[in-house]
Amino acid sequence: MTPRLSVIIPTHNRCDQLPNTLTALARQTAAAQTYEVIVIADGCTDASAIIVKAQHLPFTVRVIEQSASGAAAARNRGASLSQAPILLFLDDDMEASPKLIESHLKAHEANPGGVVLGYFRPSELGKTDHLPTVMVNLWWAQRFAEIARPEHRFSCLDLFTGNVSLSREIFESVGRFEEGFYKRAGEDYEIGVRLMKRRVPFRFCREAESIHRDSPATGRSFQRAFAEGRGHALIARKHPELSAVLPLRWAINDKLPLGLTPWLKPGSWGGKIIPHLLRLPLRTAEALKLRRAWRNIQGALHSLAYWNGVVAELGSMEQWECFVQEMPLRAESVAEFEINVETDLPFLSALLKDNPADALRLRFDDTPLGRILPIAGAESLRPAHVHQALVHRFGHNYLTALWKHNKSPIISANAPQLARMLGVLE
Amino acid sequence: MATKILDIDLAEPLNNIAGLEPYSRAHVLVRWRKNPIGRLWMPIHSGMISAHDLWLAASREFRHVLIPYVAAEMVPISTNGKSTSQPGRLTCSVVICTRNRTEDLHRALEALRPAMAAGVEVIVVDNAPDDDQSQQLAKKYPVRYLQQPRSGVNWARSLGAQAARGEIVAYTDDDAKVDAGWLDAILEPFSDSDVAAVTGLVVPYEMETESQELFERYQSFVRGFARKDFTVATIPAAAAARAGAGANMALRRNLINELRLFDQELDGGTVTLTGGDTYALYQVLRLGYRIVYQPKALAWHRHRITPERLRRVIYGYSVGTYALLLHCFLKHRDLGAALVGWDWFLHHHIKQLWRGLRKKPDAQPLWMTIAEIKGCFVGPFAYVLSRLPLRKQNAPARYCETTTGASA
Repeated sequence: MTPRLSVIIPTHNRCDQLPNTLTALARQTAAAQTYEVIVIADGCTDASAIIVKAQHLPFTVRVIEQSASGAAAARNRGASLSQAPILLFLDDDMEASPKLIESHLKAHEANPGGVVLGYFRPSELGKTDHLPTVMVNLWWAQRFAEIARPEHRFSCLDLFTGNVSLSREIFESVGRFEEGFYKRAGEDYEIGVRLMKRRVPFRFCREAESIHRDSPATGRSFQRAFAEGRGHALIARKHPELSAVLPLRWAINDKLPLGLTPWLKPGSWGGKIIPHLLRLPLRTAEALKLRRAWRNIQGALHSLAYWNGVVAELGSMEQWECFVQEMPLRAESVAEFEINVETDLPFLSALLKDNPADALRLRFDDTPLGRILPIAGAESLRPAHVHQALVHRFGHNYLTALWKHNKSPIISANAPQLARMLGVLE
Repeated sequence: MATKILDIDLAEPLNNIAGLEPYSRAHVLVRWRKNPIGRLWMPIHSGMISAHDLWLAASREFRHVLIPYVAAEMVPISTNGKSTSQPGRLTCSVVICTRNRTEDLHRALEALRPAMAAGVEVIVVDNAPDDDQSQQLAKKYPVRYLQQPRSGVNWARSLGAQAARGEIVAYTDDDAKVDAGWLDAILEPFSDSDVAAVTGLVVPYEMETESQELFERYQSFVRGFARKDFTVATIPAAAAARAGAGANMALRRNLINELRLFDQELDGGTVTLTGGDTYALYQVLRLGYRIVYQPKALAWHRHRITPERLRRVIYGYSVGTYALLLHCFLKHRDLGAALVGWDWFLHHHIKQLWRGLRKKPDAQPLWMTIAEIKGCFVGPFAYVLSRLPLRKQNAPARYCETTTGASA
């Protein structure tokens, strides 16, 4: 029987964590025949492949070894070897909760042809007050709280390849992961952009939960910032309109605290020496829980690593400046049209499905209410976004228009006073 | 003259309010369909407040707050549905810690009748009582009654959490009276797993005496009327008091017991006088959890009536705060706590002292400021004293359970 879902796990020298990941996948509520697991050992110098083969697991697991080519290439290889119609990409430090696979499958059944973003929570929550760990956990928690809101407008920046599933058909038709991202971070954003251009719907599935056994060592976070700098430069080259949402465009003007900006430009002697000098204050702030000092120093070092990454990709600071000058301020083609709130709201769902929109102009009969702006790399607008805009951004205009056209039902005995109070009457 | 407490709902018919002769002004809690959205301080003319004045004042203050509420009711899209997950509703236990305040306890229990009728577990923890009045009172309600002989409201909270069966423990003080929608509102934010604590809005129950008015003016519990998240990304953990107070807060039971959040010699009944609730919130923030301030979870608090008791309470807050900050600094190596203390001392206490000496019109009365500053210096010593008895064994909790009695 062909499995319905393939779990693709690229791994690089995590043989300590890999057995746990696989054991967690053995404890799924979904039947073991419905899924298979493909592990791609990407340039592993430890015993990852041997460990995987030695485990007794109830599901089909295949291990492929390849020379170091990067996570993106590893995932593409895994996808090409898989047989199932749905691909679930999982990182090697993600321990699946028992309902992970079942939830992903259910989400695809309910709404086929979309991308399902899973949820992952930090394993270290509540066990440590180590400042970097706590800050990183809070960052993730905030991201997921944002994504979970019904009025959230998904963007390519929401795609985290640690726990995401989509159908193989869509994956192949958008062109798979970009393999040029070896040693660069951001291949998830890049495929996100292409998915958004194809208007593939994104959905968040809270039940598709996994535990993220990350170890945010401070040194690694700067390596990651460097990789991000390189990756974002690559994305901006390929998709120039995304420059508005990547930090790339503005980071060149980052004013670092402590007045360090002129000293820390990449390539200068300051850029080489000062980070080493700042390591000790960083550790001290960390130990003494001085939040603000830690954030300032961490932010400065992070920015520097990011700059170094961008400069490594683009050549020099001057070339970066030229690059930013050439970036377009807005996307070339934006699908925008008008909606008459008075008549179109009951049919909004169907309307937006047939005419996908990046931006909308809302009006009530002949009164303009406002415009929902286009955002680069974000999904087409849905009724929830229109609701959010009408209630929170254009509320005053909307209520004024309603009262003017006498269209408001009496919502309470106080309707006249309310209207006067809200300033919707003259 | 005294201040009258009023409660109006802008969605309901609003009439002139009369019969307010003994009062010179009113504290009006303003709601929209039962959700508190703000408050007004209204002057009273000839024992009356006209509806017109109320609308005018509400218009000035709440226009922008109210527009989204009204607009949401008008929009005919049924898309603003539930968030993407609906976990089953969490079970809850309500814990009231009390000590020799039977009359207040009666009021608190009456307010919890709807919760009791809905089958929610209510636990009354009597902390080192002098007599059995509270026990007799508790027998009249379908509640569990426990006694914590070791003096200290923190120990009472700890016992309540150990005995509770619900996943969430919601604390309220015996001098607080909860509002109708309190329980649902305080449970709602817990659907996110990184939320460890939820605090609620605390407004004054009455302002008959000058002390109560002074307390509300300068030491109010109100932290605003908008929902707010607190994490160490936005506030230092030692400033946890900004997130709320023990008069109206709920925490996850497994966290209370694993982290031993209330097993400290802090708060009322001990040498440090206050601080136990703040310390629990501090612990939770420090470890990376989120605290949600949920103003829809409303409780009415009875402030202290006499100037002497008010002075003691204010002194107690200072002692507790500074003892707590020293504890955080010494035990958790949290230099940020010392900085918070220094900052608070300079920008609040010294500033108020300066303004009081210069007789500014809206400055805190000097006797209050002096009581606060006295507490600042006593706090660290009180903390040292409090650490000494902890070397002895903890007194075992003595369960003195009554079977769930007939409701009165």
